Amino acid sequence: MADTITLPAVKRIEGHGRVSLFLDDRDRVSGAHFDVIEFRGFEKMLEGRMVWEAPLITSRVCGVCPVSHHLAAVRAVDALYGVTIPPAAALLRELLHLGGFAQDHALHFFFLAGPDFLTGDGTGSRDLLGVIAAQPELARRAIALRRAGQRIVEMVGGRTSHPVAAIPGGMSKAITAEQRIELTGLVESMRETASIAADTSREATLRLLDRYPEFSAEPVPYVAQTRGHEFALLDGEITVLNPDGTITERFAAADYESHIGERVLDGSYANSPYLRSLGPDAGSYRVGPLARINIVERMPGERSQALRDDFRATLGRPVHAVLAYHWARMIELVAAVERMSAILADDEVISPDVRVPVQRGVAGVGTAAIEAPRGTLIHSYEADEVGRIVKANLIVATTHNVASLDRAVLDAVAGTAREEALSDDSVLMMELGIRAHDPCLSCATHEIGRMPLVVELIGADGSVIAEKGVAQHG
Amino acid sequence: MSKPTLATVSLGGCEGCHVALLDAHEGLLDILGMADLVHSPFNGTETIPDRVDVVMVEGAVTTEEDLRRLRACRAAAGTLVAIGSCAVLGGIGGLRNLSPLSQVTHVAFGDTTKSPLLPRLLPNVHAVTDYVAVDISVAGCAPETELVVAALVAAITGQPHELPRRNLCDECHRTKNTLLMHSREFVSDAVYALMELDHIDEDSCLLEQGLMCMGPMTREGCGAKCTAMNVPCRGCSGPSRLDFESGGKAVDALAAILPAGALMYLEDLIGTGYRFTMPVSVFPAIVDTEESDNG
Ligand code: SF4
Ligand code: SF4
Ligand code: SF4
Repeated sequence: MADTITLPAVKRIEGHGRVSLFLDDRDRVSGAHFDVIEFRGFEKMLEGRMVWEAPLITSRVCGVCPVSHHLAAVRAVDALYGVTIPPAAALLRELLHLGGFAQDHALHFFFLAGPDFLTGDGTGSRDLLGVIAAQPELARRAIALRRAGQRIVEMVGGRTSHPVAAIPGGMSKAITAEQRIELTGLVESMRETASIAADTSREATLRLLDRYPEFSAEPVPYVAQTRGHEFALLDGEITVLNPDGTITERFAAADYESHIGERVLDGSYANSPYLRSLGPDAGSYRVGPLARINIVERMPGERSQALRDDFRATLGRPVHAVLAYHWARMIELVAAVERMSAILADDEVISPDVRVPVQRGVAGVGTAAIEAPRGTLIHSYEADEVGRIVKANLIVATTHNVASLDRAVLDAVAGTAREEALSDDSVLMMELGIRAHDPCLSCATHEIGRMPLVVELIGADGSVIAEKGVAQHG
Repeated sequence: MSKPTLATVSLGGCEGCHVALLDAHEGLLDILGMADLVHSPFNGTETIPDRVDVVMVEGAVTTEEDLRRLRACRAAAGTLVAIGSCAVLGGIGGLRNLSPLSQVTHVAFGDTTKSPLLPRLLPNVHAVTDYVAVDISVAGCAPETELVVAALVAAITGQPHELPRRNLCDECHRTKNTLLMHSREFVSDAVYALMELDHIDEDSCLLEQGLMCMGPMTREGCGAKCTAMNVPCRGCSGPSRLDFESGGKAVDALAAILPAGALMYLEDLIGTGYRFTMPVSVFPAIVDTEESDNG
């Protein structure tokens, strides 16, 4: 590999990825890939495990949103055994999910993406410490919001990291009346910060869109799970919104394989899913906050509904600008708080009746989807009569967004010459585009770890001619 | 006097250990008051400087790139702190050692050959202690925030660091009626999955209810959070002494208290007994017989 140069890198993404830029024979960038460069192999690791252990094993796919994997897995096992869980268990699972969702969205907005637009004129350090220095009050609020979200996860799920309480058939433990009071207090404590975050993200998004109006705004399809037209993160049907704004497909998670194909990429440890109806090229889609806000009509409360209406009135439908993810994400934060509040107002939530016993004995396949903070998460398990997993497939949120990440990166540098492609401005644009998705590489099953993003320039002959970001000791 | 420097690094893990650190919330600011964060996923610098007083490493060694970074950490660090079961014991990702790598990649990618530009996967997952000496290690998946903070504070201030020594049963709130008696009676007549119980007794030992609980072979320190939720321990903190095999100890303990057929009933002894410790267990790891391409 000829002369490799090393330069500063892209930071503040969950996990660990790399960008490859391909030059044509006139030495201009003609292609780009966002590559996932590590791999853990959970699908194989699950083979031979007992299927009811999957909720405890797959949470370890991602430490940032373990709740999502825990719940997707347990719902897949419920589906395998054909169980209907008691209403109180459904409420508790949703509460658990939303607590994790809120802390995760807050983490991204304030501390991972926030440095792009919360540190004022950009003179301070563009990282978590920069946010704390530039906006001490906001940072304090963000920390408190995260703490409240994690406490909800701990109370309902048993642990903040890798919760344990969702079991096939329901929940392992009910909450008490006293806990309900504490939980209600926690949710109320989040309300004001969520609202401030929504306003801040509106402003930040509009500023970004004003500055980069054309950036990565190509029309694409969107995919999210919804309950009818309702915002529903835990159950429902997978809905497909075509680039023109019409809903073209609705299907149950169990049918995902007939609707979604997975393309294996040779330059990445992540696969790239696509809609079979549109084919591997036109069928790549986006998931996550922007997809959900583009698709659903009914939000869980007045404030989130008003925010969504404002979002649509301001930007249209569907909104294709990748930078609008930030605003959509904070509308969801408000929605999560409203929904948690409604759940806790329901007396059913303290019912001691939180599980039905589940017997093993049938072989079969169980599949479930939930909406993780970064988008649709699908778990599917095939088990034998004893309950041993014989096959597992996980499609995680960041994986669905792989093609969109590619597009954002290409948009930042398409047609530029090699020096320009590695300039600070270009790297900044690539970072902005990538971070808008909140890519959680550790959650993309097929990869892990964390490292600054590496940008590689690959010449027309296929050799690496420059590398930005890989550091001696990085 | 300038403050000590601190770096935190993530290798092959889920970043849950970093989240555990982040979950110190305001307490994180105290740590940042004690040391200068010179390199971390949360912060702006890209490279580990040549010298850092304290380096915290999370995650297992799964690729050549992880190994290179781990060695750089060791070379730079005054004190190297391994956080989490991935780093200390190989962790959950070590279950991939049950299959040859070619099969693991085949399940995910079929026969697609991966670009040589991607970091090569190692044939097996390893604990960081397989390659470098570690000064402080705290297992747990993820370890409790307080344990992570205590380890970092000890490393930054140069104080001695100690982990809790007893087994999880000692901090579990459940009443052990027969478990600890020197009795030859079996405490349960069968082994169940949690979901199969008609009723979960909230106060008595889960093992005595016929559930496979790893409490007796697991180090305390987590506050027995799972058993408090009516969920049996899965051993995420690892055995209480590192020379002690968690799975072997499980067989030993269970033989005394569960019916003879019980062990056969544990359909997945390895995935239960060695869930977080495969890479440091006496079980041989499985590798491809021919050195194959990484898929
Ligand atoms: S020890 Fe557990 S929490 Fe920590 S990185 Fe490994 S899997 Fe994640
Ligand atoms: S429930 Fe588990 S941790 Fe608690 S006493 Fe029994 S064996 Fe020990
Ligand atoms: S009870 Fe066991 S599995 Fe649960 S956190 Fe503690 S050590 Fe880990």
